[in-house]
Amino acid sequence: MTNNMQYRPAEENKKLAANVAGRLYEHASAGDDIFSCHGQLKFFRQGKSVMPAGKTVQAAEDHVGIWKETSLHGKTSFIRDEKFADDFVYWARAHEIKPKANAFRVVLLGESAARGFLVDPFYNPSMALEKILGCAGLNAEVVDLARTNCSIGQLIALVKGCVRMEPDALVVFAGNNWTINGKNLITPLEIRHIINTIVGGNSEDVIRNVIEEKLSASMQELFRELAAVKERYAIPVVIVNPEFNCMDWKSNETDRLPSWTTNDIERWYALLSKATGSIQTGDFPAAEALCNEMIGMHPFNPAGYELLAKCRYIQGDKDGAAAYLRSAHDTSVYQAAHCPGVTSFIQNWIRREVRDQGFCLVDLPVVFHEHLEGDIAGRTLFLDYCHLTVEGINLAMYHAARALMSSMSVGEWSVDVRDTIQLGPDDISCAAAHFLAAIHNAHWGQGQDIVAYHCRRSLSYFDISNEMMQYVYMTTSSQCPWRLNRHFESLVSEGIFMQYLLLSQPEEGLDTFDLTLVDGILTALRDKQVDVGGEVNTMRVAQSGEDGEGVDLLQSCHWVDGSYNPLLRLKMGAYYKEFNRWSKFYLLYAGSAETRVELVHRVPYNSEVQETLELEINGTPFYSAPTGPGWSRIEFEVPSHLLRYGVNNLIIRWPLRNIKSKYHEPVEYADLELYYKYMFPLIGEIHSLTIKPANRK
Amino acid sequence: MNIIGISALYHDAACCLLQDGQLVAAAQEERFTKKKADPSMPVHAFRYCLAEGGISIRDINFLAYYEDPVKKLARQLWCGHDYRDKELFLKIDPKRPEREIRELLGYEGPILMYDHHLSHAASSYYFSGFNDAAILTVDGVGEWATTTYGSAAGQQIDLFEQVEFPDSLGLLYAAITSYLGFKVNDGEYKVMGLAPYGRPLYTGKIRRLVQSGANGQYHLDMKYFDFINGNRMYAWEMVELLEVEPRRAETGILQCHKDIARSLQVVLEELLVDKAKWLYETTGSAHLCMAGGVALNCVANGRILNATRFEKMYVQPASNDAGCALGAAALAYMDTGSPKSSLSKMEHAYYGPGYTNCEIRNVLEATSLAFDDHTASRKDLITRTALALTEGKVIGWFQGRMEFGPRSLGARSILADPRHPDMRDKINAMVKKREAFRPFAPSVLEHKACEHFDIDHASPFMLETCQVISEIDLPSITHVDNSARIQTVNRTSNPLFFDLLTEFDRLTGCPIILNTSFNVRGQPIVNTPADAIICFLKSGIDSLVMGDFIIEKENNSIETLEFILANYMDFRQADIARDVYTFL
Repeated sequence: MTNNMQYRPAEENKKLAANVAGRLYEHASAGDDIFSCHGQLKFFRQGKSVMPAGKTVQAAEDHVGIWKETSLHGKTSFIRDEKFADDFVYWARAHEIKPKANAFRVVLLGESAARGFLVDPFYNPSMALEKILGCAGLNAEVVDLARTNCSIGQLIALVKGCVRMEPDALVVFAGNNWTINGKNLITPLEIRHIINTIVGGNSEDVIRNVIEEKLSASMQELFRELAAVKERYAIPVVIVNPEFNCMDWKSNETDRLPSWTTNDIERWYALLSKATGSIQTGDFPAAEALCNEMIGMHPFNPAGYELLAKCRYIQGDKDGAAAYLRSAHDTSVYQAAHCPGVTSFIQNWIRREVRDQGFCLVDLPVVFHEHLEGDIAGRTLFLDYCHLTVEGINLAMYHAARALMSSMSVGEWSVDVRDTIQLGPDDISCAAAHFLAAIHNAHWGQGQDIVAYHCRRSLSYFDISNEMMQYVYMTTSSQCPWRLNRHFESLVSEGIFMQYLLLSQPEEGLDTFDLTLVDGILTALRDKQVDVGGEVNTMRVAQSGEDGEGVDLLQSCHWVDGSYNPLLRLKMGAYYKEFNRWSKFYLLYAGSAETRVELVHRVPYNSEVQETLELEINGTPFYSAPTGPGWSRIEFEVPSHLLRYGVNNLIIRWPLRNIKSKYHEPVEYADLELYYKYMFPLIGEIHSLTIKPANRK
Repeated sequence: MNIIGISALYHDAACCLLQDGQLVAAAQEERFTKKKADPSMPVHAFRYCLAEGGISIRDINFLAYYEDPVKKLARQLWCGHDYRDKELFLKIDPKRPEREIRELLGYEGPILMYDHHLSHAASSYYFSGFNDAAILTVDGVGEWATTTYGSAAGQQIDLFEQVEFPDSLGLLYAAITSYLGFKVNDGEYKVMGLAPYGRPLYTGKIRRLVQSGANGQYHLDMKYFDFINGNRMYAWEMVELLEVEPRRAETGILQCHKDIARSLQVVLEELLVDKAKWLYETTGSAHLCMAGGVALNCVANGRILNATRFEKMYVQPASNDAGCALGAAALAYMDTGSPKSSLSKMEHAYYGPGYTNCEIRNVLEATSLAFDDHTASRKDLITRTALALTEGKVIGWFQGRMEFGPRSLGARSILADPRHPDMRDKINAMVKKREAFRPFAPSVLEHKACEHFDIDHASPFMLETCQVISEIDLPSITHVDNSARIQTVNRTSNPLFFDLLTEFDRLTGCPIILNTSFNVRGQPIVNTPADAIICFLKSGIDSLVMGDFIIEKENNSIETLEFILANYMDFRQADIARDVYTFL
């Protein structure tokens, strides 16, 4: 047997290791003396090591996106590479990008907005651009390299690679994905810096500073590459500055959670209620004062800005309203996770860089503002947070074409924007786009109003939407996973949704009745004299209602509505965690029996006073119970006269006055999980919530 | 009294519930999360156990955790892991288990910690039905111990000797597993299955990797291993020794690889038999209890029983770390002063979630799949399924409560006719999509087992191999060395599966059915009816028998469903490095 001493740590170190381990267990953070022991405990194996198996390095140079460069008969074309088949759905449906011929070749780069997300593949910005350039007399072909979910890094690679396609011009429509939040790329060191700055009471806007500094570096690199292309190939570069759906995209419940501090949460919610009430009664000065106080207390929160915008808009000050709506959206930089959407910082940065680099600018905020004659861009131009309707696509590409032609000085621009109205896909595709928008809006936590709007628009284009909608509400009424559900299968068989197969489903593990979506569908169908509300309720109750065995309301289908919210996963686990002032559960009632509720709950802090939680059914308070830091079990009957057949809203209101988060001290190390714990103080916890017939134990 | 047992944060996290000493529920977290060998704190398995036991978080008297995190940290520090690295320390922090139990499970009561190998030992002994036994636990590593030897009588377990890290038979086996291009903590079973194809040409060299010592001791020659720092399993010196290029994953398996596997198995068996003999001499007990990941090497188990004077052996069906949850819970129960007699022998492994016909029907009716309803006549269900087997069909069998442990035992199983000459290749290629050499195991009527296999006792958990002596030709379950890893089935433990075997026997004269786990390669065994349907649709299974319902693939047009499923990523990888054993 070999002398193993150089191949295993020293035997005598075992005692030291045990000693250090014990001390690390006893002390929260190790001191220098414990750290110094590492020198003795270090171990490096002597002898040879196996070299790690070499990994095949993907030769990136011969690909542009998913297309591989291929030479045939001296000509270069690009063929879609099957190795990236999983990625095809994010790109244009072009198997081959042919060698450049006589046409003026424009390469379009960008993200999902440039992809025409939700309208694509039936229509998209590249099609619009090509047609409009044609109307202007240019024999143009547009090579569509836009990619849904394109990151800024991927965009830089595309800029570098696309020159191999011999473009005569570049159009870049991007900026919505230039976000760094939560799970994207904040390092542990940066997280620690943010946490310690905030808990230390430093007034520095540290989150914004960290994120904007990181973003600036990436954006500078992108524009350097674009400038290099412009200079080297002497081709015009048109930058389309994105716009956000300010008017019709609202913050959701998670966005509006007071974050980072538990101070005065109760007061902040009281201000929110009062401000909302003041707006309803028309007392705008009072409302604005309350909103400003809210913003002062929680500057990371969009709610105050949104209410200020409402005040301004009702009073006819649309520019003022728009400014507040932008401020509301700009708080997305503070959110742990947010939908894509360009911020003011990025828009202003693009304007500055375009001016400095001599690119052509299509400033969509300006374009849309003028097109709407001063009104705020909303649902007529947007399908969701940043993706454009057909009208929006045509308008954006009209101006891109015009900017391009202007940069080439090819004569007077003669195309009228009104001529673009007839451009677009057929009615079925428009119907599908709006219905997909309804689904997407609902899954992102938008309200029933906008969901119903898109459902109505869908039905106005084509009545087959009726059938599509039926498939969806029948799918959501079942607890069977969407991907096995026969109604979803029928929907897929229609062929229209193939591109959005994954995106139209709830997230894995977050089964949902999709109540907002279905309510939107039902509202739109009622306008067409089709009333299936009763049928939907019956299906839901039959599938998931209380059937004598007891129903676990902590199953996600009983509390998830908009499921595209990564923070929902923070709520789930062995027990339910609440960060909001209330918890809402959907109780399905078959109408036949008295109902008992069993609830095991606690609050995650010690309070000096007895705390109470309040329960409501369908807006009516009916029960209150003491709560505290240990698990308490309560059982009570729900008055049947407060229940209705089908879906009932059971709300648990948590005490807010004396909340204390245990995450308020500086840290030595922090990861994303800890970041969320600091950011979202826990308000309440539920270990079980079960509904049973009253006669069952 | 309600006691929860937990194993977690290493690999194969699991949770179990003992109620007044009775095992009421047990499940592995991977089955809920779809992450194979998921090591996360088992939040889903925990919720399941509470629901199955009809209790709430407040009703738990004790929570038992399966290892001592301070001792484990000591071993990790001894290996040189840099505890000053904040990111690393989050993983190895000895307070992490308690912190996660409190924060993630929400448990507020007393937490009891038991040593890893003691938990293994308890998982076997306390559920064996023996009043006394010798105990042998063998795995990769717990805190320090890699092998322990003990004796138990009545309530007391006494572990009187142990082998310490880095000397480890489990890590020896894992190193060769890695060398042969399989994933550690996952591919060891494949190496065991590969061994009969090989010749013991490398035993001399393998013996240089490990040498027996006095009493229960043995030592690895660490010159050949490189796993202490956790970056890789074997060193260049091993390559020089074996003179065979390490096999890259997913490449062809050569004869030399098979020979190495065989040689490893020979050496492992030699050592284990040697140590088991010493254990017998030391304890004098006629009974042997085994646990730990190496105890899943059923070939070695069979050798131990045959080659020693132990009369009876009990191997915990969940011999891997998942089973430690049972052991820890049993230890906590014993510590309350309860009598051992209140801990029952584990006669079966069906402790996971089950689904009623109503629940299954709800899912089926929501799909477009045509299915036949046999709720009116279970007899018809059995007859039809047995007939389908005789026709050469591959059946997905989803019945009752899910098994606890790595084996499928007639609750979540894929079944087929073992007499069919092409069945093994068909299932490997079309259904499991795995390596062609992998053998399948048989389930057999307990009272007829001895007519077809060289075995004289019940073997309900597929944890020992024996020779096939049947006059019936059984190519699909007979391994190349004429062995089989059998499950004996009696009416008490699984009446429905028993009935199926009986009917198959009636039709064919063969009381044996091929039984493999209901999953496809790389994915955990199915848990829910939806899981079963998805696996059925994505594999070459011909019929799915779920509760009292039968779904025939030939009666259904499933192209659209296949398309939807092909475009949906529903199985996720746990964050476990599969090239090297997880020490953190």
